[in-house]
Amino acid sequence: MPRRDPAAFAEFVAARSPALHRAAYLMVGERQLAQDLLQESLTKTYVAWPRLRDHGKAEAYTRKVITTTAITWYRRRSWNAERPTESLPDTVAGGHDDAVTQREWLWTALQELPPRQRAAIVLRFYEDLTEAQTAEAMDCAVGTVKSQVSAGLAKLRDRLGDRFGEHADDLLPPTLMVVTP
Amino acid sequence: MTELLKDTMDQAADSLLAPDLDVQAMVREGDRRVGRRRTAVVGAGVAAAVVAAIAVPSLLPQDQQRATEPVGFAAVFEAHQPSWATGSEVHVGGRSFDAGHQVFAYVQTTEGVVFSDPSGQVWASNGTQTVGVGRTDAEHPRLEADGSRVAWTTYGDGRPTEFTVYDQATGEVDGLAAQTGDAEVLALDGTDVYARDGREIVRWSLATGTRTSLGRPTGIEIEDVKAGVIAHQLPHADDGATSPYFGRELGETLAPDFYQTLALSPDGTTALGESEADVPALADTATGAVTPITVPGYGFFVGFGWVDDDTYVGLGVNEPYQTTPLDLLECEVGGTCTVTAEAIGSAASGVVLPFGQSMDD
Repeated sequence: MPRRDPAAFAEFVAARSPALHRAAYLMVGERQLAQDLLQESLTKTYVAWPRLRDHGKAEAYTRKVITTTAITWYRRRSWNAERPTESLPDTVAGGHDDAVTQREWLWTALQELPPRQRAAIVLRFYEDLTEAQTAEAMDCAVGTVKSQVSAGLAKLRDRLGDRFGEHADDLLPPTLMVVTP
Repeated sequence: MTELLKDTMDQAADSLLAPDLDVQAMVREGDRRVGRRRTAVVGAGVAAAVVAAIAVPSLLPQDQQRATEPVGFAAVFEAHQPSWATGSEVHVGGRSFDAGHQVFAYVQTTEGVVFSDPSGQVWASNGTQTVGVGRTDAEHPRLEADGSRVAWTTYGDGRPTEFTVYDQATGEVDGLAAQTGDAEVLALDGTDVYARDGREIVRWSLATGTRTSLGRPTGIEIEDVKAGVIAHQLPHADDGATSPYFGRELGETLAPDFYQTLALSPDGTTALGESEADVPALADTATGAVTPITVPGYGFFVGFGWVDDDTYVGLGVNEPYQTTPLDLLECEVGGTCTVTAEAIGSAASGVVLPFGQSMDD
């Protein structure tokens, strides 16, 4: 019978938690919340540990749990009404004012997206997952990923349009280009 | 400019300090959740029809004991009334009896209970009489029941590992030697025993005496088998995680929104289990469609067995889960639940439920 091995699990946490933490942060936009999300997601991974035959691939499972848990938390807590929006750290190396401003606006706009759209965009553009991998992580169909990415990018474009006018279209990838298989 | 989105996310992510995680808390909490779930994982259906055994039986040992309760329990066991055990006491149908030995892990049959004690001795009790019927792993027993029969793995003592089936209705014991030492009974479906023998999944038919190989699918887990329907998990090729399937053949019907099966209905049409960890749900084994289970009034509920094809049983408990007494409930598929036994004791007080494995496993 497969057993839970706390030592092997702890090794996995030590090795992979920094990367998973970054993904969690991008999905929720708040440091403490991201840490709580990662703690909960890794606990679920430990519960499922005997079923994750290849422990080297447990990261994919944890990423899926982070995504689905973040979406669930959002539904339960109505984060839109309660959560603060953290500002983007000003650590751009060599960036000029326009670039900094664009990133600030884009970061704020990203945090205002509905959670499924935000998750889809994080998984596709930060994690560089394919549409199929994103669908697996979000526990949904590939078609849903396409529509969530498309809708998310459209909202970002609209939001940025308020600030950058017609140039906003140049700041983000066209929807059809980014949902290629 | 297409890099702006990625650059923005990279910049935000790179600003993070290392997370302050508590791995010990994850392990403690994970073990607690597993314990709560297993508290309820009643093994194998107690309601399937009894099929007459035709295998040549061996005689049972004669070390019979009298249980302390003189009144028969045949009717309550035949009616599949929910039971639980504390120490050597078995509680069912509003009464209890002393089985004569500490109940470490047990299953319920149509005739009574079959249990292993902390030394690995396997006993059968119908409420008036307790009989020694075999041995299994002391620390990690796995008993599987269907109708009046119970199957387990007999290990060691210098002999080959053996799959053992005991019929509590007739007293017959049958055995089949495994081909490897690394073997384990996984499920019992009428007269068919499903087992792992090394890497091979095998079906041993008591009716015909045949042993059939179901192949060597890497990473497969058989969760339950009823009426020929096999609830199982198959690993993904890419990431090592598993997905649940149902079917008379392996890999037949995927249930993408299901997490795991805890017990199949006697007719094999409905899987009682979870849609994700600690979230109770039913799944249609023909289509894989999932229906959530909602039981108001409990912080945690899990279904763990079947009374008949339309009625399942489960437990409900509120926080703190380890110390709050459990309620046993009976629920109709698509209907409501009613409490059948209230405050039977807490997980911390040593309550044992009939899922066939150690409560600590």
